[in-house]
Amino acid sequence: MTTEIKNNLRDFELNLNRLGLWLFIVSDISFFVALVSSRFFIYGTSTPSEINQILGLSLTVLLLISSLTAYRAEVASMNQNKKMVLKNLLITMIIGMIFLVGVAFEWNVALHHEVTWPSKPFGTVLFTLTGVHAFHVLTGILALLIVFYLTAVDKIDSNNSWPVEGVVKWWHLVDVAWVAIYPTLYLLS
Amino acid sequence: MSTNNLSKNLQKGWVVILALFILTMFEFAAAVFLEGKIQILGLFFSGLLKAIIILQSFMHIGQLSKNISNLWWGIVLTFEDEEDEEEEEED
Repeated sequence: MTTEIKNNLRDFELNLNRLGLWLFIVSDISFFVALVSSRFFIYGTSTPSEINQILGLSLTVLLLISSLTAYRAEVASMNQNKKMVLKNLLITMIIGMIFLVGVAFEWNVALHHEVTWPSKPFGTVLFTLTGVHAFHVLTGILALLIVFYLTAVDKIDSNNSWPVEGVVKWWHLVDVAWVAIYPTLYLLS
Repeated sequence: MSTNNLSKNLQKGWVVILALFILTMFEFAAAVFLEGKIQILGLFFSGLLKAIIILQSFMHIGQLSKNISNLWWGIVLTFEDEEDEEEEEED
């Protein structure tokens, strides 16, 4: 097979991968849109004063920082800088885990106030939205871990930046979802 | 994304994250100082802007149309090549 055909096939496969991931992302975003809109049906536009604003803001800042490190990993991957890819993927995973600890803390706080119990209207919204989002964060961390390992042991071709690009796109989806969840859960009053 | 401009792309990341932080602060201020419909509109538009910035700058959604176009022409040209080869064989 000539080099030109190989390159064409690789480009075709890359375009196909990107389109497939985008279709998946769109379907996942529609799921989050449905969940976010349910908040307004269930609890209107008010937010209980028991919600921890500082924690919500901290979680948002954490996710934004992780988006930057994920982006840096992608840029480094396209420039075939393995050390920088590994460093930024690792930082992204660590921030993701701190985020999950923050969500667990949020749940613990929510369980101590009657208005945010899972059996109450706002509690239902809070636990469903943060729970589904936290699950996405968890899957993102696992995907990052797999790509981190494959990059570390040179199982990924240095010319192939798709694995890092794909997993980073997934991580940014988690960030976009939180951009909608944060004002919906914490800021409306 | 260009593969050559490492430092330029890294710098772009910092600019984007700074814009996102500023918008987050605006959201927080809107929640504290605004009320009613103005607050809802403020939160909606700042959230929308943040989502657009992430989709465009970090997720490169602008390249999607190019990917679809490349895929489409890749499929069409492959079929055209196969038809040409079949015609040559028949001749």
